[in-house]
Amino acid sequence: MGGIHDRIEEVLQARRAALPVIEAELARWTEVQALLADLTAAVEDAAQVEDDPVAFDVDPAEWGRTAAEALAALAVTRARVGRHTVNIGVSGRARNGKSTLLQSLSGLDDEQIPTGKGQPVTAVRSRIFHSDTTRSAQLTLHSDRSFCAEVAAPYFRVLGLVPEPRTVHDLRRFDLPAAVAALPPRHVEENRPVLARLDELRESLDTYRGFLTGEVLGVDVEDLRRWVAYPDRTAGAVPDRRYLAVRDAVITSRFPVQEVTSLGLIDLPGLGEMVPNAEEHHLAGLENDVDFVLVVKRPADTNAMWSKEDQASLGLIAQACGAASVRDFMTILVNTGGCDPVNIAALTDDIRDRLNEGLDGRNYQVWAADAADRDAVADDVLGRALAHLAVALPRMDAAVVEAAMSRCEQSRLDLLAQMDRILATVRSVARPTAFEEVQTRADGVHDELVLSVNAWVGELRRRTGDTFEDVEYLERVEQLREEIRGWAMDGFGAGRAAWIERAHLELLKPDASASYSTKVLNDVRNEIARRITGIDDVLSQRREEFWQGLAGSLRPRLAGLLRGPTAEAELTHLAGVLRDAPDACPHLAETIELALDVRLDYRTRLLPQMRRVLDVLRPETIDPLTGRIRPPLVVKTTPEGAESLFVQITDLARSAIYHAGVLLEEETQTMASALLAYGEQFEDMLIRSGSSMPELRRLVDGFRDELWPEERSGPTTSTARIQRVVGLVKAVVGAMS
Amino acid sequence: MTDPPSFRVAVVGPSRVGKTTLLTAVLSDTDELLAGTPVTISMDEPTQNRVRQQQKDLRWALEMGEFNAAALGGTQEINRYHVALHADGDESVQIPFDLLDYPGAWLDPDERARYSHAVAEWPNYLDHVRQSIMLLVPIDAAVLMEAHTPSQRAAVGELLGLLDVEDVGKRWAKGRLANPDEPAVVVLAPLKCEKYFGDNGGHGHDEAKLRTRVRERYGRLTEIIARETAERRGGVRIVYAPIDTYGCVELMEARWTPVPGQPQPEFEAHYRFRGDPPQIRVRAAGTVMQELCRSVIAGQAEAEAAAHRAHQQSYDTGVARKAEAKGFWGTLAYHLSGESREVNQGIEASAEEIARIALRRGQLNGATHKLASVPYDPRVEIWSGEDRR
Repeated sequence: MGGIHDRIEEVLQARRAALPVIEAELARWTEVQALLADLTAAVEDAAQVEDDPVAFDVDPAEWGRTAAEALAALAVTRARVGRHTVNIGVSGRARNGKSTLLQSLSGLDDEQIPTGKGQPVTAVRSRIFHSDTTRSAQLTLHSDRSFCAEVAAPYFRVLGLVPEPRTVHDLRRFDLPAAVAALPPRHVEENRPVLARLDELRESLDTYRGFLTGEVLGVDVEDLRRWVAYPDRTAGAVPDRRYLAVRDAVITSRFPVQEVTSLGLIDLPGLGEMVPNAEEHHLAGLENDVDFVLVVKRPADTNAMWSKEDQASLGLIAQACGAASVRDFMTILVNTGGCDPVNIAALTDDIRDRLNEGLDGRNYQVWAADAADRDAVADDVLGRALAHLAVALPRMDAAVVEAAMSRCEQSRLDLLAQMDRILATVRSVARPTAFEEVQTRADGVHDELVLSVNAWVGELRRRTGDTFEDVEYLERVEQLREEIRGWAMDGFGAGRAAWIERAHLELLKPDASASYSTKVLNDVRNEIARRITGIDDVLSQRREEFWQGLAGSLRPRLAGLLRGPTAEAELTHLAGVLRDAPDACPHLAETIELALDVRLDYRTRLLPQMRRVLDVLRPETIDPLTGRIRPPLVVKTTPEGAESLFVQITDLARSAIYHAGVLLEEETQTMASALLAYGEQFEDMLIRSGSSMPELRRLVDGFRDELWPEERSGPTTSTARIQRVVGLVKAVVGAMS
Repeated sequence: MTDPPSFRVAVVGPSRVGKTTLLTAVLSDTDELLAGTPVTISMDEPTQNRVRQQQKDLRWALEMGEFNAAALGGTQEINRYHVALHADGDESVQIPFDLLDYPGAWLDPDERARYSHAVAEWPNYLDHVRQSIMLLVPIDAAVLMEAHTPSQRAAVGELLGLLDVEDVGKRWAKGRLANPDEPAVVVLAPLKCEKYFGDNGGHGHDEAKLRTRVRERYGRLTEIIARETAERRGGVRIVYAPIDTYGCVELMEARWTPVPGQPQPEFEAHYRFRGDPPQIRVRAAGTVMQELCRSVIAGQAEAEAAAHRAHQQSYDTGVARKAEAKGFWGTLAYHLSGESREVNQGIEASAEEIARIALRRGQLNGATHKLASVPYDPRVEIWSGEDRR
């Protein structure tokens, strides 16, 4: 056995050398598959252009199948060459001694691999691996959803019940009796066992739903049975079916054959079990998990001949072994334990005659051993299998890898031929190149912008003309001026008589007027300054109108990129899109941002001049003739003095209010000039800057759908879609090269 | 008895611009310039009454501390102002000036036809304009400077009566062309300029803007005059004299009020006194009289020989001369050569009397020369003609 151990290790090492090649090929075909999906959509798009469709003489569905086959072959191969163990699968119909054989091979007992008489007892198929040091069981549990999708839904499908449950809650709420009553009675009769299983599933829901966590659970090896065996029927109690929560079971244990450490035993699902999709599961297990299969057949009195069901399982094995030889891949193991020698001989003869064409071992190897005899199993089964694999495994590996690569190459050639046909179709319809088209479109957009932006700037210029009157703005100024003036004339809001009366009192307190007149002047000055900021609403409105005009000039072509509740929001969005695009347009973004930076608010534009206007209300001013400081207003502390103070202060206030209004009136011209300057700068940067055209090309290329949303058909769309097809064809060819 | 001839001045400008105020300011400023001379400026009675009323109103306003420009004048009638420089002690030795202000509105024949007085005076007015050596154009500076919006600016021409001014200007220019040797002076006189200058107690710095606006608005007038007098020797002298008629008032607010049914808004300016107490400080008004004196002096030299000959005229010739229509030269000879006195008194005058009159006349001449030679207010600019600056 020592020699075999070394040889097996060498074989495992050798097969792993192929892993990088297979993985690279897998990655390549995964990419090809994705590109083919895009190409399929692109080809369909090109064929759907209303006025100018282009039909390609290809079958996209065939591409999908071709790529899927290559990927499937590679996936199986990868699973094979990626394995760190030699895996021996144990197959066969129920009640033939599979579990007994597995116990003998692994040294485990009923607690881990349940056996029994009568009904099948193995509910969960385990994968058992040898370890010198570890003895453990790891259970991967279903999640709620995976349980429904992989366990419950297949029963619904077989029975024809809808809707399939997506959660355990759905399963519980499902009215099974009513649904069954609606099914054809014959169908129900034929599927009675399946229906019984579904009933069990629902009946025992509470015994396993708590385990549907999707987690990996470590379980004591000695306590494994209740997780992997069907429960005993106990009258009156709901059976514990926690095995339904187990998705996968891996047992690690020390095998009796210690020389071969990299060894795994795979309990393949039994054929003929009343479980939906039993064949698919069996085949998947054969393809992905095992290097060699022992097909166990126990010739009992009623089971001594090679049956039709036995033959069906050989068919699945032949399908799973792929490029490897069936003779290398499997052996029929006649389980002689407890069997009448007559039956053994009958089976052996039957196999020779029907499978091996009258010559033992011609097509299938046939071994015999008592599955319960551990020593015999060790020598006559495992030892023999390993000796066989030491020789046959490299042969099988090479055949599988070669077949997969060959499959890929064939797929590649098929697809290249298809790509050629597409390109030939493209060549037959003359269309501009992508660059030419982008250039033409960018020139067109540029021309459109020249006209629309120039019209907008022209309007801004018109508003700076001597004869243009911003009536709304001037009316607002007049309204503001009248309001403030009215406030001043009305005793600064207190009423003239009341103000004078109050002033008289305030003058009497110190029996002097300077301090009071100083206070009043300061108050009045500050209040006028505060009230005059009321012009901000119109200034804001003018700024928004400026943005509306700008957005309007861009809208004919860029409407798809102008999103937001206001013009400012639209332009901000556009600037962001331009800046954040994969092919960014920073110059265009900066151009928009410049226009967004317009400032027309009162504080920015008017405050400095307004302060000078309000200087007339300062208590102390410089006499321009003498250079001396003029004292505050001084009046007698009499009612007449108070009235005189009122007249003098209102005169000063009226002067300040009037001149503040003049300043605001003149601001219309300044504001219009400022907006024109911003508009002209925008026009210069957008239309005449050297950076504009390259970025307009990027814009056109990157936002074609947004810029030309109306192009659902016609030659232009056709061109664009053909270019997309060509681009994808090139990508597919590139990926396969 | 026929009035003695006088030097004529045509005044043209819209009503309420402040012509009486201007005249008051001219008299006041001239009076200051004549300080220390034996010469006085005087008015005939109607002029005196108007000026006195105006001064009284102003004094009252100063007392009250409330200035109401609208209350200080403005009538829609023909105003004739007679003022004269005369030697102290002898009212007859004088240089008389006759300023005629014919309402601009009446320049329109239809409008004029509504008033019989206007129709009757019209030929006299045309004759006066033709003979005037000076066209005095008072301008409301506030209308020019306080128009900030397009519609306000559009109303300025109408409010300043520019069409009328240009019409009269054209007639005056034709008269000057017909008398090519006589003086020809246009004085563009923006009034109530206190707010726009910083040299008379205010904080304004808008003198350049005012000048520009006057040039813009009155550019067509000066063009018309230049075109009409292109063939005239020496051209026409155009003087720009922005005048503070009070010095102590300043525009406080201007109101442009829309008038229903009229395209033009109505303009109303409100002024306030400045300074504590406010003091009248007229600026540049004396320029009008200085320019008149300058014209007289300029003509005097040329008329010297004729004046000498006139001194030898006989009584009979004198009586006949007095009855003649006098032009500029006639007026010059009549008043400044001594002819006037002889004409009035020559029949009975003795040799001593003639010597005394000659002395007074010398003093008047001296004062006239002094007035003409005093440096002009720094605001004043000569835009065309001799001594341009």
